[in-house]
Amino acid sequence: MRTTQFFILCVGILLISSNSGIVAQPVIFQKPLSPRIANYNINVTLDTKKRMLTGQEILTWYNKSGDVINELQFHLYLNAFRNNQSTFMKESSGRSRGFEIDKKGWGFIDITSIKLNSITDVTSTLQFIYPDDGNTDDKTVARLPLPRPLAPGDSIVVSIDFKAVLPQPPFARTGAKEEYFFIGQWFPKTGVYINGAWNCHQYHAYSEFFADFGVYDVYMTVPEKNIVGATGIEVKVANNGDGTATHHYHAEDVHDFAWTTSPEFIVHTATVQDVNVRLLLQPDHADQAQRHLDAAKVGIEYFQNWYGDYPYPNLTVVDPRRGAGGSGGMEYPTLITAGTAYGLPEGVRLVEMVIIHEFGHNYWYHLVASNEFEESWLDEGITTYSEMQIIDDKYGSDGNMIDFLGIKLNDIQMQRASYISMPDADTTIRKSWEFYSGNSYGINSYAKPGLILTTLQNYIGKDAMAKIMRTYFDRYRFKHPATGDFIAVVNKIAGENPDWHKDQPVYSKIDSKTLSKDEPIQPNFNWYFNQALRSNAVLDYSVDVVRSWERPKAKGYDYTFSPDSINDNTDDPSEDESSDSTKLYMTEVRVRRLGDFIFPVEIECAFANGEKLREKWDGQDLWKRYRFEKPVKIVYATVDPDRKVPLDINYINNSKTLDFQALGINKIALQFMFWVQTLLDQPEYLNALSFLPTIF
Amino acid sequence: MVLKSLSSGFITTFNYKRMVFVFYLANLIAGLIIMIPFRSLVSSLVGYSMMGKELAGGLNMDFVLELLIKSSDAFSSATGLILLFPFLYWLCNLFFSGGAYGSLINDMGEGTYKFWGYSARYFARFFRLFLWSIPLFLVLYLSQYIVTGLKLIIWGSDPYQYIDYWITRIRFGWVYIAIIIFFLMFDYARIILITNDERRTRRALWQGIRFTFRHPLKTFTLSFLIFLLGQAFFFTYITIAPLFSTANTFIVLLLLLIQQLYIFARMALRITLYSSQVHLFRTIEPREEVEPSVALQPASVA
Repeated sequence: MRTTQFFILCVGILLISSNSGIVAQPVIFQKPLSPRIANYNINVTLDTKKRMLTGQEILTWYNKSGDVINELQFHLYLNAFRNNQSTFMKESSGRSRGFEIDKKGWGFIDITSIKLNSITDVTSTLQFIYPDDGNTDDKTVARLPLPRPLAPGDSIVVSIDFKAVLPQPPFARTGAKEEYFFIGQWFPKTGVYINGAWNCHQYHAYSEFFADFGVYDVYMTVPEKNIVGATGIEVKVANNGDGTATHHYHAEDVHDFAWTTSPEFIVHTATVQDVNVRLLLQPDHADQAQRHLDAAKVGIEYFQNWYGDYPYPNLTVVDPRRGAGGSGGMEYPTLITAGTAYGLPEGVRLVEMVIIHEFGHNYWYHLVASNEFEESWLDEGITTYSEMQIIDDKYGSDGNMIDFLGIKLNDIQMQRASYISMPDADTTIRKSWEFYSGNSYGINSYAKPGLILTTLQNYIGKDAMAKIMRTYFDRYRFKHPATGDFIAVVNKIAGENPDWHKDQPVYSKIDSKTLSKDEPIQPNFNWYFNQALRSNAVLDYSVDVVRSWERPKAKGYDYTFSPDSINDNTDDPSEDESSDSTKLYMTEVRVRRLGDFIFPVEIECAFANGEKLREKWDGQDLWKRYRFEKPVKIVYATVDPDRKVPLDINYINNSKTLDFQALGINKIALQFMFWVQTLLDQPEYLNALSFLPTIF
Repeated sequence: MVLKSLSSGFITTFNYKRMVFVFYLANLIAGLIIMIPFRSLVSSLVGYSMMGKELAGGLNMDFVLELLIKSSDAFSSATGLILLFPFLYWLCNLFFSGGAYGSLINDMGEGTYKFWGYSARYFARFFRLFLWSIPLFLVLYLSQYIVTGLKLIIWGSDPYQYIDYWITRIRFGWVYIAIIIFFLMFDYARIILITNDERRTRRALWQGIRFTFRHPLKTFTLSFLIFLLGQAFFFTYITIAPLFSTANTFIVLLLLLIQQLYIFARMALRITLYSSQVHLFRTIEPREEVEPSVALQPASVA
């Protein structure tokens, strides 16, 4: 850092510190855990009546690339809600997460002043850019040309004054509802300079974020009666004597900063392992405090035990206000939002799922900071996979998501139902705004990757998968990995066990088509990820034919005739069957691959004498025939008998029985008929649907 | 008086078993009409699969989800039928109710031809009565929004969730009571229509409303007692049914028997309601009955 810049930075920090009465910054980590490229010192005041933020930001940005930087790029996310011409609004048709902005609920952010190194006013040089779609009405990304290029290793201090209005109600994760404020994506924030260019995307309807790590010191001035929760740790609360208080939060090695405030929060605390949990609960949900804390405990314990250390001292869980569900179910560094409803039955584990999932993002999004704009599967998908495994392990595999009124549903079943509803609209790796629809984005970001990794885990085993996840976590903590990095980890671990590949199409046509020339040919799972992530191929194996028939007795020449007796006119002796008492049955099973996704599968054939045979098929050909000769008939054949391949889009065709399953069919039909009869006679029972809880 | 009417209703129902059977049969046929294509659909999907076999043990959620997703087109295309069918069933019951009330009011025993004769005789008038009663039903059904309005007045548009939670439950009860009250008025209108051989259905409806509100405690208590009995039957069934989950033909048959017994009991309750209402009406307003314009022969002659 240049001496003058360092001096200016010190003066700047001192000024802010003196404003807030802070003398010294606290230290969380003695040694930086991350590169600390983008560091923010923000002083912001919230006008709760106008939903307005007035802020002064000092950004210290380090050029840790090998390139000379000629400009900075900033996200101005709140401008997504500026009008209905923004890219976000056009893509979302004005609806996000089930919410619409109120008629007067528009939000915006304006930069009122920018100075470089506290001296050079460059406000007039700020330009809006539209790198993704060329929408000139969109003001969510701006570039700031630098008067002097920034050399590798140098840093720059940018002082920004801004004012912003939050959308109402909370919309697309941020905004205000009456006394409740959830404030995310709220300050001018730099993009990421990576791979020789700025990666600074516009705010899209179906996208999350990407940022560099840094240190944040944020001073938030709010009404003094308000409770504040934020990323990082609370250093000090200073009462300003004018009905307001300034809360100073400090966070290190994080890549975003979100905060919330409301006078209504009920605060609960707990300590889980080495993490202090602070729950900010709505009065509506006072009786669910323990449920929230228990869920946070499950999340923290499982993630720390399975994947690695959560280095931060605390976690804040925010319960969104009623009517503010647009801010629910969201992740920020050391702060997550949940979501529940009054009277939510214990058997509906929505709170648990959301908290475990969102806490999981502190690993897969925050610590391992992949690009959510471009490869959403790396954060949402891996988190969904982790969530599914944890919920299965913690709550069992019989109704682990819903166990209510006799209905039992597992998380994996819900994810699979989502996936099979639209399995092939897109490839999984795709820029988030380029998906066919919001539904397709959701499926390919959450459900499908969760199933891809579960299928992989079932194939290579839990221990190996745990090793992969831990290695990926260790290797890419505080970095920005991409899909190739994850696959490289899988291949490294997979390479340790050639057995996994002996039945695999490692050197098959798939690999020869998809592997690049310079990629070393060795046992790997590229064949799997190429299909799962980079194609829209669906996996569907079915048992097409199952039949058994009595083996006919051998007859003809060499059996019942002799070539020597060609002129003999005697009858065929095989007509007389009384001599042979042992019956043998021929059985044929034909299995088909109906989708383009090739994956090895097991086939189980069960016979009437209780014998079960398992056959392995590499699944490459379009079909495979199995023939057996047994003293009994076959009962059934089934592909993937242990349900190890949840990526299979059709479980119904996975098995075939020799006999019609009249009992099961009649039972379900009779049950159905009974409920039809009941509802025809008592249609008012449908009124009970009004009991379904309203979540937000 | 109410209990006497109720006990009279039970005795009468016992004497009109065939009538109960007609209602039950109509319900069963309706159930079968919907069930048969459903069974075909399920058979074609899982008739020869292990998933089909698993259904004998209990509901398999993988099956349910795949059925809903893979057959969504079939369900969508059947939406019209799904909406029309309950209406047709309602008309069918309206038709039968003419036979039931006619037989019960004229107290002519269980002659099958009389039942059908009365059904045919009163159907047109009952249908007109039904059309007149639609606004009444709407008023009663929409009355639940009084609760919503009160909520808005008291707590504004942004109440705590627990208020919404309890308001939902109050509305739920309110709707049930509104439905009971509607059927009270509709039932007594039908009784008056037959008793007075009233051809002006609007007048019959009005008289039904007046009768109900002149004797609110008696009429409502009677209906409410039968409603409670129905709920008791229902909760008994849903308590017992899960015990029959074993994948066994005998158990499935037993479950079928219990299900159909429950449905039969509901139909018997309906006839009990009709006959109790007739008894209550006669007790409150005893008068010379008007002979039907077309005389029907008593059962003993038939």
